[in-house]
Amino acid sequence: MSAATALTDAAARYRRLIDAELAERRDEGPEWLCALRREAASRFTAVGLPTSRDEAWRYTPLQGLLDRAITGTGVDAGEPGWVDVGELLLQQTRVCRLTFIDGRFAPHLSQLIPLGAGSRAGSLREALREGPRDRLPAVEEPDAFAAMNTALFEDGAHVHIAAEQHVPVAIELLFIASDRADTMHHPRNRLMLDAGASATVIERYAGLGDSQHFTNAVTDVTLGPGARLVHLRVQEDGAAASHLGSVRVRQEGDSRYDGFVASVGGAWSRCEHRVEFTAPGARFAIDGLYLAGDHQLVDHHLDIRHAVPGCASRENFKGLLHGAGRAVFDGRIVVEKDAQKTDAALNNANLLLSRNAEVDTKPQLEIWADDVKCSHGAAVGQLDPTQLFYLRARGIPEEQAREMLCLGFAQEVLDACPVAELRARLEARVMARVGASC
Amino acid sequence: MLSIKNLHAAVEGKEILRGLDLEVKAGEVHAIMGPNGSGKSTLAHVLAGREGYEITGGSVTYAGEDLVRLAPEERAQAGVFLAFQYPVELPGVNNSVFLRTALNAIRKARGEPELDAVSFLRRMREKLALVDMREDLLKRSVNAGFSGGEKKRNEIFQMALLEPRLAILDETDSGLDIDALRIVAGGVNALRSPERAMILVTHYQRLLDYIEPDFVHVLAGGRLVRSGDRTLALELEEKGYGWLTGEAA
Repeated sequence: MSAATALTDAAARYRRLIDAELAERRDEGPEWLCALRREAASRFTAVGLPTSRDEAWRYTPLQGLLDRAITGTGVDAGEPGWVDVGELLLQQTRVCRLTFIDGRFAPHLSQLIPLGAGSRAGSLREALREGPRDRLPAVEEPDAFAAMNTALFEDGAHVHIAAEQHVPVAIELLFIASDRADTMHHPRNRLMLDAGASATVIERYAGLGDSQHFTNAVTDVTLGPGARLVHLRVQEDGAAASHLGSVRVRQEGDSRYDGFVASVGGAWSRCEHRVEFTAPGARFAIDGLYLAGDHQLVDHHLDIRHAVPGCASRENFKGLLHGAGRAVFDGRIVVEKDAQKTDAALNNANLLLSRNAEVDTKPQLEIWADDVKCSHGAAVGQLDPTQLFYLRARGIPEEQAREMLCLGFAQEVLDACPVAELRARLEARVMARVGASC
Repeated sequence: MLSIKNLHAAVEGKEILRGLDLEVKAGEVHAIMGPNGSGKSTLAHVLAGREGYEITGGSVTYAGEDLVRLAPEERAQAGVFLAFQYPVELPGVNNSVFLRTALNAIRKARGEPELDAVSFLRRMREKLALVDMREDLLKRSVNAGFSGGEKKRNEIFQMALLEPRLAILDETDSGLDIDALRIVAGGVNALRSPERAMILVTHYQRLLDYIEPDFVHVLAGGRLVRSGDRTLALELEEKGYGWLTGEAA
């Protein structure tokens, strides 16, 4: 079967799944939402699945994902309890936690804390049932997977922080895939911070087993004037999982988004950030770390659009690759004609620990304004033998020296993770991964 | 303690050391001087076990053992220490984590218990004073963003902490102003002891004004062409290397 036929085939298969799910959920939610879902289903077919001819998907083969026999969203099985998820929970960090199992809100595994007058963190599904439709942003879905998410999302978090409110605890959105095989989940999150509000949101994805589930998540973020969001997104899915995550950020004047991304799990994973500024003075910053070893592909995709003057964006991603790990980094910053005084810096560095590891990195700047400060860089390297010798000459065994240098490489990004407990978890992950491959 | 016999060594196929002989006993300080390109740094790196330095003949015996057969970390664990001419920057590797890992690796190899955080910190503070080093340098990445003088002080500080039996100081004076040189030399002098031997590799006599060697050797053309006491260094200062390198050629 040719690649094109396989793609058409997969698209038709997914469409049948979407239609079957929609028929089953006919009576769920308000009528406008049902209509929106049907529109999204049509949009899915109209846009079509991406091919390697799409620039944004050039280095990211979809084959592995599409060949899977996804059977549906997998509802109504025995739900996991505290015991099953205990290992995933943060113990020392006080959080307002929303837990979702296979995309569905699990109140019995959540821990809701009142956030203050007019603010809310809860299930999106409930929010949409009772609230106005603007709780979902009106966007024409740009790609098939986002359209599929709109058509099928089961639930997700709805976080709304009222103007000038500062949430003192982190809000954790914990998405856990159970060990049911061949299911797909479509978490949909909506984060809204009104003018001058501030909050920390931790979005985490993890798997309980090594099931071949496919997560297709979308998170929409809107920051009002002067609002500040610290947003951590950590993907530590099971070894056989596929994960596609899309974060869409819309920032008003003088707002700040400080992001941290870690992608360490899954067989196939891709994380996209699309950012728009609507007024001057907004600032977007993100640090990212990814690990890939045997049978792993990890992709990060950034699309930062400066259309108004005086905004800043800074992106710094580091990748650690071992075994036959594969990574893709595709970062694109567009500075439009009117976006004078833009300050943008994009960096990607990769450390390859084996000859079989492979990375495609493509940082791009597209500048149409003439008074801007922009830079971009990419690096791919191996462990420095001089550094290795220095450590060994101090009595540190070679394997341990390699681990120290790998952790050192990742540390710059890890230091940007503002939640100490999560940082320690990730450090342990890095050590375990490089320890096994050094 | 160290016995080098007819040592030949090559870097990238080019023979740099051509029949070097040296005997170093515990408690002695030897200075090895020589013009640029004579093989001084090659000798230092060969002793520390750097990859890419191929020994093509002769032998190096340290404390009765064949040093050449040991990996760099095994040499360090056995008490060999090289103070680097160009200390390496390790971004992201915390200085105090690095020092504690090194010290505990060496202690473990000697069959001593690992130091806990508190006793380690106490010991570090004690040694910091020796080289007048600020404690905040310990919280930073190893050598990253350190000034030239801070890097060299960090080397001597590591030496103080790791307490080697044989210390090789490769051009420790290079790039130091006079105040920094005094501090570094003061640290080295404080570490002189009857159980410890030192080899100072240097181009200039200047360092020897602050650290008095027991023996001075001139390395030229890959061999030690002249040995003497510290008056030899003064003679070199006056006459330059020409009169000796001429003999070697």
